[in-house]
Amino acid sequence: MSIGKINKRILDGIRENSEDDKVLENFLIEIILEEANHPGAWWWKETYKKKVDKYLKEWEGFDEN
Amino acid sequence: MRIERVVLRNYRQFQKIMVSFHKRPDTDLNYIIGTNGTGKTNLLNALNWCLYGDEPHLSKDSQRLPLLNLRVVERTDIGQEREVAVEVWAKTFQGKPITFCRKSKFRKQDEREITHLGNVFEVMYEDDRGNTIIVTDDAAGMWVERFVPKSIREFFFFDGERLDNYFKEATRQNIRHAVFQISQLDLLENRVERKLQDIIDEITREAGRMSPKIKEARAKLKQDQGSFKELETRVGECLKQIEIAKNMINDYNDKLIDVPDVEDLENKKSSLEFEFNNTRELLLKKENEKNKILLEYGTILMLWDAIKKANEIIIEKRQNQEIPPPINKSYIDELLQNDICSVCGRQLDDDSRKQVQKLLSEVEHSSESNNRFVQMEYPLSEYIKMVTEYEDKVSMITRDISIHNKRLTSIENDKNQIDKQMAGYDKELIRNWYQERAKYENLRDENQQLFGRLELMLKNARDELEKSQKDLDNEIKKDKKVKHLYKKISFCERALKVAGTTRDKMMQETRDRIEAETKKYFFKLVWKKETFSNIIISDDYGISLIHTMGYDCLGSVSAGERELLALSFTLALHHASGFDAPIFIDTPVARISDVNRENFAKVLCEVSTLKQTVLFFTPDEYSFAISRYLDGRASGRYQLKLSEDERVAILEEL
Repeated sequence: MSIGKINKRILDGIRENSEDDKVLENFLIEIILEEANHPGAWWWKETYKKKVDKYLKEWEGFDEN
Repeated sequence: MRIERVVLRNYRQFQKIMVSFHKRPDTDLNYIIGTNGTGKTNLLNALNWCLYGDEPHLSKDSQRLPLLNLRVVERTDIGQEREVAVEVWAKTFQGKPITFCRKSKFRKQDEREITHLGNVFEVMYEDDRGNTIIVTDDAAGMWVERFVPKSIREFFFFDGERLDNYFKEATRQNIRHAVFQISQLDLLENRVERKLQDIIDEITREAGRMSPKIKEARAKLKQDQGSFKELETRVGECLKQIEIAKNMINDYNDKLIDVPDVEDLENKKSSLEFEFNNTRELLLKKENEKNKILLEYGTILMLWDAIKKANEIIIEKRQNQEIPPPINKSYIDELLQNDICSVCGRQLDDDSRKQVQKLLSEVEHSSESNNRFVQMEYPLSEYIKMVTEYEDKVSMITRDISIHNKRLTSIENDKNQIDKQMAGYDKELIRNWYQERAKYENLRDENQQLFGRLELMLKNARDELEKSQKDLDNEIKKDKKVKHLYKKISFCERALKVAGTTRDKMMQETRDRIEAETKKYFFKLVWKKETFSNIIISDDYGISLIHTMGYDCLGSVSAGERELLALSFTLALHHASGFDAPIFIDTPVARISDVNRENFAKVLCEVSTLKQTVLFFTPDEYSFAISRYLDGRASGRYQLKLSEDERVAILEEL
């Protein structure tokens, strides 16, 4: 499913409220898209954890800078 | 999304029908005309049945009939199975086809009994690669939720007969829920946020198992964060209340410029009336007193001239010494009886006796009249005294009566003055304004006091929170593994905060936009331009339509105006929340008078330029006032009729 299926204002709001924290912004947009693509998926916890680990690595670097 | 066509097979009046909703570049308006019983409302029910599996607009007559078409039932042999199917062919906003299809199987058991064998609901769509995918059950249901969520369908498929009650029926909670659904904010709150919180809880438990001290410090931090957040919310709410109160006070001040304080005037008038009644009572009392005195002194006053004359005579007689000192008759009687002079002791001779007897006779005559004068003298003096008293009393009472009369006149004048001041004003409305202003003044004062207290509490809570954070940081630094877990928690918490802030801001923005859009549509479309001044939508989606006189008039406007507001609100809801779906209205002008039908027809034409609009009219409803606008404007026109045996509906394109 393309990004167009999410209300654009949600994506804009996430960008605005992330306050230039690109890692956080991308993480949130990715899990929002995941929710739109696979609503009610039973495997959500694994997906979320993987995404947290993936983005945390970038975030740690970002944070340290 | 747009509904391209609806296909019905064996559903109620419809044996086999396909309704295609045509579109033109300038309009997307289709209408269907049909007398009662031909199946207009059941077309709306068919849509609901296909998408949600129920028929919310089913009439009592239809409730008694089977879902399976009656002609089909008659022509089915016992033991044979038949299928009811409704298909909704739609296009996504990306222009890709999607079909919703519900089928229900029946078996004819005997001439009277039809057994329902089961339902199938499936959705057929095209994926990003162009493959056709068919999903059923829950997965299919999820596609419906993306199309028009069941909880908010009433905003898309509605009945004109019930539209009048739109704001009564659509509770604020429903509207809020609808906004959440339409804006996809539920995706943030109920899915992303909830799941992030689950992840945070799980990692926290894991970290807590590794270091109990951290668990403790974190619990303390959580508690302090909770207290701080709660206080922050209270401060925010308090400031908001102060702001609202100030704005409202300003509004009422503007309204009350040069407007008399009717409550104060009415209180004054009421006091004056109370005083008037008391004074009148006192006046009556004094008048009664005066009458009583007049009655009491009446006889004396009538004889006043005689009394005066008699008194003058007595005075004169006294002055002339005509009233002698009284001679003691018994003494003379005793002298004659003893025959001895009590002065010289000599016996009385004949001459002396004769003289004494003569004197006795004279004394008898003169004493009688003198005695009478003497007897009269005292009562006469009393009467004279009474008349003097009477004059004093009457003079005092007359003065009091005059004072009371003057006061009554003065009160009457003051009351008239007050009436003049209040003349021409709507007292009830002004009283209400004054009361409301006083209410907001109280609210402002109370919240200003509360704000002072809360600020101090907030400062203390902030200090406590900073201390807890430091304690936790110190504990975390001690263990590298735990430090990594807390980094994860921090990341998720930060993400959760961003999601929550986005949701809150969007909710507020959406409300503001819905309010602005509702106003825009309503004031553009309403035919009485000078009657209404504003539309206010509160945070909990309570809707107020403000009359130019300043009061909420939603409860007293005409059915047409209320329907227009409902339509404006629905359009705003669709537009402001970024969700697009068609509007189907059954009997849109049933509750609207002839004069406003024309206006409403114009409104519906306007609406159809913005979104797909499908209307179901009865022939009576589709009067000249409507047809003169819609005939040329509609992109598709249909007529519904019943077959001769009244078992099957026939659809004809006009």
